[in-house]
Amino acid sequence: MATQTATGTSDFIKNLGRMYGTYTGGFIAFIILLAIMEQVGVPNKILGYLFVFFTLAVYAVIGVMTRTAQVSEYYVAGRRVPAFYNGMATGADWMSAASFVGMAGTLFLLGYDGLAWVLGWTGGFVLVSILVGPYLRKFGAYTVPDFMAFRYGGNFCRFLAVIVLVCCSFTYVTAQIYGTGLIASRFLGMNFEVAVFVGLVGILLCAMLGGMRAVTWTQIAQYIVLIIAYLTPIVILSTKKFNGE
Amino acid sequence: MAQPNQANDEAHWKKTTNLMLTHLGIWFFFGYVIHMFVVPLNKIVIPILGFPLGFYMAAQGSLIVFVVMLFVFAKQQDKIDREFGVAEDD
Repeated sequence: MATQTATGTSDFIKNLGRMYGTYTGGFIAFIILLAIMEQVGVPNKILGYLFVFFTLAVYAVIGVMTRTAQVSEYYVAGRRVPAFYNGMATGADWMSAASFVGMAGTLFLLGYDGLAWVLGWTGGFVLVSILVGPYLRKFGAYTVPDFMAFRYGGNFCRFLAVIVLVCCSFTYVTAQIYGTGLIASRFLGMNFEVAVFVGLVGILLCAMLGGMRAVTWTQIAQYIVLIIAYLTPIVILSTKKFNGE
Repeated sequence: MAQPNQANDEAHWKKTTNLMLTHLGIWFFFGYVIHMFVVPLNKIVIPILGFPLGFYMAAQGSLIVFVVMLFVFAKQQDKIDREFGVAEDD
């Protein structure tokens, strides 16, 4: 059984490129299909629904496919995600709802001062990679408080780490959930208050079955959507604006 | 693979600490120091792009430095790990 799982996983890793390649192709084909439908005269509202349901379906499929009951798979995706894909997942985290709702708003309101947010956001990755990341992995800890308690000893240290963690997560998750609620209320046509919880239930379903494993693989799928969604308008707008030059 | 022993570990940790401190220094410089001088730096305008330098460093420059640092740090730390035989198997 153990060997079977091991070969299953390495096959899975080997097929990653093909799987996500097919997925990207499918996504582009889907966009082209939507574009054709728009030209034919299908109303925007239906196109919006289609887009949301396509994405949700992809996440749901990944969530179900990657469900797991193993502790190390659940918390750290078995520590076997290739670096390139892990980078894509982290990149998708960087560009998540908190960035394009929260950060755009912050920059709009605060101007130059708002850039501190961007700097901290990116500079934080450097701190994590220098001070915490490698050691967390080498110690084999699942969470940062675990690692801190192990490294410095005692529950007081663990407690401090939990407080820091909750403070950081809270600010991030506030923007994130607000974004989720906005998107859900817009596309599903319900009250914001209800939409927040609908969005949360969706996230819970996706994340609970597979933990970190499911989150990593859905984030990679999301990265592909995001990168296309960010680059296409920029290219179109800039060619429109600077066409004459 | 070198045998794990204390001298080896200490040498490894010394190199790792040096690398860590160097990178923290660069991080501090681009994270804080350079932005303290934003007003004088804004007098310099980057050619071609046309942005004031101080503003540009906060909007893009420091971010580019951070991303490059991530790659460089990973490579250097991996090199140190390999030198002392504590690297992960590929």
